[in-house]
Amino acid sequence: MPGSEADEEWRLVERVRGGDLGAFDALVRRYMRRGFSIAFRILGQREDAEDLVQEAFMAALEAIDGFRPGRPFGPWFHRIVVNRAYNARKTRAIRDTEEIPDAAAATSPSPEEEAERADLRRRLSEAMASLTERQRTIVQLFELEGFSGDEIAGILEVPPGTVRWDLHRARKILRAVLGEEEG
Amino acid sequence: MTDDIDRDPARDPALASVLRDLGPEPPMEAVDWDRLERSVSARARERFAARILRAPWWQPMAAWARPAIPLGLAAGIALFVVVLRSPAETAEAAEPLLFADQLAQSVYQGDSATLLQTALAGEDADP
Repeated sequence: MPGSEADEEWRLVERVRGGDLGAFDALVRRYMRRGFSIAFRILGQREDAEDLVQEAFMAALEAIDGFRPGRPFGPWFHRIVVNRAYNARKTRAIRDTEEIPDAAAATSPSPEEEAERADLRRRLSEAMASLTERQRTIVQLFELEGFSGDEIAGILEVPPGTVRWDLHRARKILRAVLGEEEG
Repeated sequence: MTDDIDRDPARDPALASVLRDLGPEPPMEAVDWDRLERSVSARARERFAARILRAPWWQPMAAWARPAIPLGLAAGIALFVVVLRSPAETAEAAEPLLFADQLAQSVYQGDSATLLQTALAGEDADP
C-alpha cells in the first residue's frame, strides 16, 4: 500500500476516534466487499458472510482505540474477519467447502465427463479437508483473493516465511491430486 | 513446479480454476451493498452514541493535552528567560552580594577601619 494511502487511512481512523461517523462510513465502503469475499470463502454462505462483515466492522469500531498509527487498516480489519469467520464456522456448524455446489456439478456435458469431474472434485475436496485450516485459508487468499504472502502474513499474524511454507505444502498436496509433477 | 519460501511463488491459474470449481464463488452481484452499508452505518451510529455516554468526564480535556503540554512548556521557558534577563532584578541582586563580599573580606583581613567603613556604606545603600 502506498504511504499516502496509509496516511489517509490513519487520518480516517483518527476522525473515527473523534466520533466522525462519515469517516467510518468511508472505511466501510472501502473494505466491505473484500471483507465479504474473505468471509464467504471461509463460511460458504452469503447471509452468514454479510452478517459476519457487519459484526467485524462493529468489532473494529469497538477496538479502534487500539489501532496503531502508521499501519494499514486493511490487514487489521481482514484479520478480524478471518478470526470471526473461523469462530463462526466452529460454532454454527456451517457447511464447508467439501460440499459440491449444484452450479459446478451441472456444467458437464456428458455423463462420462461429469463422472470424471465429480471424481476430481471429490479428491480435491478430500485434499482440501486434509489441509490445516490455516493452509486452506492461505491457499484461498493467495490463489483466489490475490493477496500477497506479506499481506496474508499481516492478516493471519504469522511470519511471511510461514505463510509461504504453508502455501508450498498446500499446493504440493493439491497439485498431487491434479496429477502434476512436483519439482 | 517448485515454490521458493523467500518470495511469493507465481500464481497458479490452473489450481485457482479447480479451486473455484470446488466451491461457489462469492456472489458479489447478489449482495445489496447500499443496504449493507446503511445497516453498518446505523449500527455504528448507535455505537458512537454509546461511546460518548461511556466517555469519562476528563476525556474532552484530554483531547487538548497534546497541544497544551508543549505550549505550556514553551511558555514556561520563555517566562524563565525573561525573569533571568530582567535588568532591575539583576541590579537588586548584585548590590547586597557586593556588600556582603566586602564585609566578609574586611572580617577576614581583620581591618577594623575598613570593616566599619564598609558596614556604614552598606547601611546607607539599603533603601
